[in-house]
Amino acid sequence: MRARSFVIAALFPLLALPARAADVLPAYKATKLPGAPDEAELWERASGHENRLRNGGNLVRNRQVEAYIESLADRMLGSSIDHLGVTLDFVVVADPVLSAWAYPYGTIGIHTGLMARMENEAQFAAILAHETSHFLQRHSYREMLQRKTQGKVGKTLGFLASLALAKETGSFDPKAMDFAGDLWQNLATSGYSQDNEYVADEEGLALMMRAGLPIGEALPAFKHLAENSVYGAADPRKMWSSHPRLEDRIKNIDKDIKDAKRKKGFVEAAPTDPLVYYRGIAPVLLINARLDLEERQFVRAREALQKYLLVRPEDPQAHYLVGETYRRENPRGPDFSACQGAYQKALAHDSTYAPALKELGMTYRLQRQGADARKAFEQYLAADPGAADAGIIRGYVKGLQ
Amino acid sequence: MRQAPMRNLLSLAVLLMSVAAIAADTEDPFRINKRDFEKTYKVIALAPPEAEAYLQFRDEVKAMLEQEVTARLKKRGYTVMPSSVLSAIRDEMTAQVGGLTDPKSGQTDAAKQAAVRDHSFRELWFRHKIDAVAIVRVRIFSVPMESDKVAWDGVSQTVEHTGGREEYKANISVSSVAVAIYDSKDAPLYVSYGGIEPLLRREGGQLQPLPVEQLLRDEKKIRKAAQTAVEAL
Repeated sequence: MRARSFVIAALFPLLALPARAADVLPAYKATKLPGAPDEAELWERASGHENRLRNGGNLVRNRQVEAYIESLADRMLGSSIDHLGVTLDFVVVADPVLSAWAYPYGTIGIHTGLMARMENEAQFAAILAHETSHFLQRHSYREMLQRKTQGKVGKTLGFLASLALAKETGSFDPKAMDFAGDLWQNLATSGYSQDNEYVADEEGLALMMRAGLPIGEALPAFKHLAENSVYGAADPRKMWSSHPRLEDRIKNIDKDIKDAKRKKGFVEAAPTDPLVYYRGIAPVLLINARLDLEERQFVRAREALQKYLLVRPEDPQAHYLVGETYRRENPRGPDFSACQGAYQKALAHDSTYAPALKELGMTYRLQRQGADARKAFEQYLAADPGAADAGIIRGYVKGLQ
Repeated sequence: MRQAPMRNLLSLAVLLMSVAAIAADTEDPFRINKRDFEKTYKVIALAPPEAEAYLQFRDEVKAMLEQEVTARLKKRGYTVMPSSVLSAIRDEMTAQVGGLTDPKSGQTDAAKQAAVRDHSFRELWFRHKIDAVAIVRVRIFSVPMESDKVAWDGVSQTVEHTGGREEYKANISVSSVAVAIYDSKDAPLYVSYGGIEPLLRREGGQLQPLPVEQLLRDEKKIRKAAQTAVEAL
């Protein structure tokens, strides 16, 4: 009994930390980051993960998208963190799961899936602001202090890394056993305490207001995060939606928004034009539509492509992909009108767009429309004579004669 | 950036299998109502068994897996199309693309390989009246281990070890047979697993990979794993 009392007594100050955290670890007021040797060590561990991520081949390296995100962040932050000696950086990962996370030194990781599901700039800004707040409030470091030792953080990460490893690589690499220890985004999306999440919610809204964005859009933005279940019930990356606190978080954001709106002098910002957002992230919409297609999320893929086509209506690739959503939804027909219609639209913009010619031929072949199939295949072979499957298509043509 | 070449049935299977395995213990292998499955799907084509590149996948092991899956399906009243049918289509298409090896580099041409895989599945459906395709693959997963004991996908085993017994928890890589059955829309109907063996051993306080040539050698374990993966059918 005495021992138990001692444990509770010892834990109490730690439990009390979050409420006092702002006093203990000033973020904005700090003159330099990292502020302590153990914080520097934490940064190093996290940067190890970021480096692996950057070298992993799943990054979206698109200057237009990066510039768009940077300008949005700049609107929210202005020069408020210039004195810290750090700059925000963004890393966009090609992954359909809705996820975002903050490295402790100001790099924000964002999945294409999250960007594609947001309906306008304000919604995206809400997530960006939330993650930025985790960095500004040094929540990773605070969590580390709360957990007492960095080793424990590493252990948690190691477990998550092991889970993710099987999922991510699909193959076993004995060397990868050493990789466990710093799968950062899993901590960032599941490991923050409720108090720290609430702080980030509140500060995120403040950042939105500073940028003149309508804070009411934060609510639908966070509700979108509950849409991850379609990507696999046991996916360790779907922390946002699997987290039991998401519902509480949404309620809290709703309350924060109402509170902010009740304050004297509050003026709701004008709605943002969705087209501005779609234009800013257009390449991401296309990339994520392909990923959703692979995941058999046909409706989601089509929705992203429709957004993309609003700003780039003449892109044959997008029309072709719309066709693919219909074909893969019903690959053996018998009705191919929707996919064929989309392929024809692609060809209306570029009559030599090879993927559309091939799939048009394939659908005609399935319908036993030999002449049409042959014509489409011959056009395909003319458009892309070096295609990997050229020999197979020639075989089809031969069979159709 | 992850470019997205045409994903085929197999790639989808790999993805779904890896996702599902983590929660395999609690999931119903049937993705649709079992009775509907039994009523609707009568003719099932087998794809040639495959394994992770890390493993040495001998022909004897492929044959064992196919035998076990076929035996169960037949016992349950299904008509089974052997994997040789799809293999023949693949061989034909491989010849049409001039082989899968890049003559310059001597490496496998990934684009051609993907093209053959995609077209061969589509051609299987085009040429034959089948209701579903079964994919059998040996997969590798990471599962929790406690004090040299590991239980996953219907099997419980002791990890090989040297040194004194210790109380500890860790994650360990193991292999499982995954059987996934897909309909004509490439939608999963059935996904299940049977555990084969751990891929590591404990040496004192360290986990070390077992030599690859020692893996997939135990016929009893391999057959049992395949039986476990299809027993719900």
